[in-house]
Amino acid sequence: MNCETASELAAAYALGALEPAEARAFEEHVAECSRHDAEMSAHRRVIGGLAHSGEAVTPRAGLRNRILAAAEAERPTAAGRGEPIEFPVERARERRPRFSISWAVAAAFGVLALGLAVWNVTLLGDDEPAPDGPQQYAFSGAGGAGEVIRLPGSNIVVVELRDLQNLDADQDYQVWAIAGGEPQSLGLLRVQDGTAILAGEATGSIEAVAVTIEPAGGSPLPTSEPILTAPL
Amino acid sequence: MLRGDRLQPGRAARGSTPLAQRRTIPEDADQLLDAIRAGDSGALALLYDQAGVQAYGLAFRILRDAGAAEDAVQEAFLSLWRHASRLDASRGRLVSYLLTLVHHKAIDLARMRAGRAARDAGTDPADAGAVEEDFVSDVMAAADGEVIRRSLQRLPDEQRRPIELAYFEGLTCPEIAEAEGAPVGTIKSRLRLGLQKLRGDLERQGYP
Repeated sequence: MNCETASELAAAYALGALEPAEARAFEEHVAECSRHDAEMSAHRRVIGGLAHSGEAVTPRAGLRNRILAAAEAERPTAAGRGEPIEFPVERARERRPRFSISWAVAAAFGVLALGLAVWNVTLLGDDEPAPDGPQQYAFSGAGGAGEVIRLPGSNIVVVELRDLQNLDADQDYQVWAIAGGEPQSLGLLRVQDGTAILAGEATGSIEAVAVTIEPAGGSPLPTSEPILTAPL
Repeated sequence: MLRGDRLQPGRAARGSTPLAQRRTIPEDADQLLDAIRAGDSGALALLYDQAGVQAYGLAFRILRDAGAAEDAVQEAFLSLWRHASRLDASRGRLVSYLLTLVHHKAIDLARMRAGRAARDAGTDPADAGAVEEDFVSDVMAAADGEVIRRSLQRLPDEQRRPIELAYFEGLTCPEIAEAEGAPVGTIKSRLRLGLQKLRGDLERQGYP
């Protein structure tokens, strides 16, 4: 391909309108010929403007939550962005702290249009100094059983659950850390034979961990009351 | 550098409460990108509030179907979410980059729905690692949509239509030629002339 032909094709290439073979030939030419840099840059600037030429249209109300739920499901964990970390909990030294808890659905998050409940967790009597090893806390609730293990000196928790019921295809179990009175998603559970393990890290001091049943893919904020809770 | 465009409260989807309202809202686009890179979904929510209607408008214009347009917008946001660490904020505005992703996703969906071959993977700026190559300049993006729409309308029909068929329909030159009843070579020339005239028109209005 010569420069004259490349110039003739530059606009079509920038618009993505060339057939693959012709696009390859164009790319090979411009890779070796810098004379087209300014031309391509100019075309791209105009085409970039075309992206702004559409009318603003309000999508249906659920799209925002759908996107955020999907993003939350991919949220970075202590091991970095990607899948939730899963690692054995057997090594954790069992230690059940003394506590009494009263949690209730205190109030709807009020302004929260999701109409969600907030958990008001009150910790009583757990004034022991933090131990050196992992701390283990039991879940309570009717939806299964299990423990939360908090790694010492961190806001990283490992959640181990059993006796979980199979959910419908359009539902997922979602785990939440409650910190500062607000839920933070720790991720979705992968349940096998009624058991699941998940690890995650919260921002801020964790007051409780809870499990809810959410629409498949999860929710940015809980949409149902927890089936299991474990105050920390 | 990004232009430090202050983020304005956007039009959140009715019936929802922006997550960002309960969090520390980034002060500008640099901070917003940093927060997204750090995995702060509240920052992603803020970007949606700022650019969601524009992104959806673009996808809907291409796909003309609410469900498909929503899928394209969701894919674009998630692609940005996954690849934010690779973005160079100095190359353009975050919203422009998001719209580029929406365009790619929507065109690929449109081509698939029409039974046409998907474009090369390399056309996805995020997935193909071509972020820097395809990063949208913020210069033309600074022109508001109405200015660009009017400039498009001022083009001769024979130049405007091929541009719209390529950009909003995802057609290739031979497909445009068939639709327009003109030789392929003529279509390539019209695309070139049309883009040149569009640029000239925008430049005369102060958008260099």
